Parts: sequence; C-alpha cells; structure tokens
Amino acid sequence: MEDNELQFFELISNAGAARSAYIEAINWAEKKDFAKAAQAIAEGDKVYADGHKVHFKLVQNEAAGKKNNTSLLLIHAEDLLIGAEMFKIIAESFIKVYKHMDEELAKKTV
Amino acid sequence: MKNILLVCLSGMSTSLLVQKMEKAAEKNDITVRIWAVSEAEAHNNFAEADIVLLGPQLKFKYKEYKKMLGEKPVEVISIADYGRMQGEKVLKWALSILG
Repeated sequence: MEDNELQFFELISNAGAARSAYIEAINWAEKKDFAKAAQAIAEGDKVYADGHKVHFKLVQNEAAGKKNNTSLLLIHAEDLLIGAEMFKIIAESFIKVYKHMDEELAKKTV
Repeated sequence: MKNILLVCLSGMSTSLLVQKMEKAAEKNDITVRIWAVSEAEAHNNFAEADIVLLGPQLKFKYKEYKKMLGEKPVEVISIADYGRMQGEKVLKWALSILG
C-alpha cells in the first residue's frame, strides 16, 4: 500500500471517530447527561486534532509541489473532516439548547 | 467457518481492511468469510454474520447495533488499528471474541 494511502486511512479513522464523538455528545445532551456530553466533545477534539495533523501534512506536501494522489479515499476523508467540523458546531449548539430547556423546566416545577 | 461483517459509513474504507484481513487469514491458514458493507446495507447482512465490526466513524451507533443484534457480538474497531489498517490484528481480535 502506498504511503499516501495509509495517510488517507489515518485521516478517515480520526476524522470519522471525531464525527462520531460529536454526534454522541448530542445524544448525551438529549439524555440530560451534560458531563458525558462535555466528555464526548473533548474526546472528539482530541481525535480531530490527530486527524488535522495528518491533513496539514498533506496540505504542506501539496504546497511544496509534491502532488498527493487524489483518490476517492481522500475525498471521503475530506468529507468526514467537514462532517466532524459541522457536527461540533451543531453539538455545542444542541448542548446549549438542552441545558436551557432543562433550566426552564426546573423553574416551572418549583 | 466464521463470518465477519464489517460496517462503515459508505463501505469504502472498510473494503481495504477486508483485503488485509483476508491476506492475514490466508497467511495463517484460517478459513473465514469477511465482507464489508455500508451502513444502509448492514441490516440485510446481519443474518449471515457471526460477528459485526463497526468502523470508528460508527461508534455513536454502537448501542443501536447492540439492540438490533441481540446475542450476536458487535464491536467497534479501534481508531489506531483502523487508521493503520492492521488487518491481522483485527482478524485475530475478532476470532478471539468468537472463541
């Protein structure tokens, strides 16, 4: 397997895991477990950073004139990276909304 | 013969892991059936599988799969093994779960 291809897989694995963690954060928020939601966001951030490192290397390669062999795999990896970024924004927003709902409900039941 | 089903979002990235696992099985003289499907196709393949392995991008669906599969083992492949395409390691791990 080409070196490049291994990098794509490392990217897919990390970006995909980050995307998954951010979605998990939404699920925890829905269950009102905000500690676990925060933990899932932190976990997502950690693996996203690992993926980003790989991605940055690819970008630097290209900038230095070393073409990356663009393949469906790389497109898929980029797709997961975008997905991770979007889900993080959505997850943080959802956590805020669920927290707010929780507070409002608490006020009503007093 | 054991049947190992791999599931990821599009079935693309797991396809290569299947190849690597098959090579490892050949090398170790293990008769096994390994195949990869996308999430959309997964439920049509459950009946034939002895174990279902999810890519790390599907970790958030683990509980859902566990519910769907009942007694059948389902596991999430680690980020490191998936990212480095450790076919042999994943194969041996899956077989050790099946006992």
